[in-house]
Amino acid sequence: MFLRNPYLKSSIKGAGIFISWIPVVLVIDKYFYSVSSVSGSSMQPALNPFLTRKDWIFVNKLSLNDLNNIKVDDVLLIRSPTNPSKIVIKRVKGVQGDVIRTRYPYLRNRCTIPKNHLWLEGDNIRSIDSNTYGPVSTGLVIGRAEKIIYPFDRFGDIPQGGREARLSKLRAIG
Amino acid sequence: MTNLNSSFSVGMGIITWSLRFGCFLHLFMDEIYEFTETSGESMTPTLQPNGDYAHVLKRYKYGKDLKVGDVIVAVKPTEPHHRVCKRITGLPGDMILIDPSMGSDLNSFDKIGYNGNDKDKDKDKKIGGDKEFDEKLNEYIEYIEKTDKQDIQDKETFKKLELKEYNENKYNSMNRYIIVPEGHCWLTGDNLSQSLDSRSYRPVPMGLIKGKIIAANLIFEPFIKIDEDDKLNVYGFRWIKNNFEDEIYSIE
Repeated sequence: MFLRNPYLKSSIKGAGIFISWIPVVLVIDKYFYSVSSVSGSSMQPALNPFLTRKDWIFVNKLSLNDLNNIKVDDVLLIRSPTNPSKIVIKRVKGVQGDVIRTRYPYLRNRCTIPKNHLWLEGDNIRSIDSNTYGPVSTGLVIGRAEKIIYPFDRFGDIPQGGREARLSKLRAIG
Repeated sequence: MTNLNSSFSVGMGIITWSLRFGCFLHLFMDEIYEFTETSGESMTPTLQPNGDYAHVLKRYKYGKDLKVGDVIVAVKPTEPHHRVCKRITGLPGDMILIDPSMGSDLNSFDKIGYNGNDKDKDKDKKIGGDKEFDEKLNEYIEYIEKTDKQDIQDKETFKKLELKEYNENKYNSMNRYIIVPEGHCWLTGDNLSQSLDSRSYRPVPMGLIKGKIIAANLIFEPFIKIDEDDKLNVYGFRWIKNNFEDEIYSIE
């Protein structure tokens, strides 16, 4: 029998142990912490300022177990409402109950956000965001992007960006 | 000492193996198959309000390969920690009549206090908005003039248009056609009178769909039962079928 070969036996055992840990890694990736690359220009200039290289970001999925933790100006990864096989990255511009002053493609100029929905916009004015498809259910949220990790010269927090969209704050500004 | 070491390693082995197996089981339930309890009256008579367990295939996650008439499990858009069972009754591009029986003038709650007087009815339709609405509208016009620096010359027409929209929303929001947008679907319960579904929360993004229900067991049925047609049935097992029939009217 080939299993008598001690090297082969130990390598099969090692492979089995390696395979048995794969589900644990996948669960950590799915529910705890993850790393992801960003493609596209919708979050310029905060992410992908130069389209020649992709940014890599650290994604925290654990802190969103309680969806009340989502705050305005967080950068979130969500499953696209228009194409469920795609994941998009957007910035929160309003949470439930806020009244939003919308931008061009949206049909009305105000929008009140329903319960457990979010208003998401890309920092780039040309991004396809809530102004196209309306408020997004928090059920589609995958995680919060917290740090830029790859171009090491920009290692650290994700810069602020976007505009103020909440009517109450706009009124306060004047 | 060796004894302690070995018992420690055995203990660690048990812990890590149960961790690995638990993670595997969880991923299996998340990506391949789940057997889960359902409750609620929204899907009677297809699923019973209590004691029904559903076999869910996760291959259909995110709306892949689904057809009109399939029964699915989805996350409730307004409460992401709740899951609902509904039937798909519209896919992207379909035109849906929401539900004229729900918000129509005839059984709207606002209309009940009428005394059946037609004069009153007309009056109410003309006024439409209440005092609160008028105040809000004036505030809104002021706000637009301030921020956009544009004068609304014809305030009366503007008010009329807003009022029309308000009235439509108030009385007529259910008697309307909607085209289901890209990547969304229309979900309704089989028990329309007891179901909170797309008629109130509008099209649901397919990203919220968790799987398709292919069969169900009712635990109140006996463990083994012989059917009328001499077939063995375990715990009231039944397939849940796509009972949608496309009515194609040929134009001649």
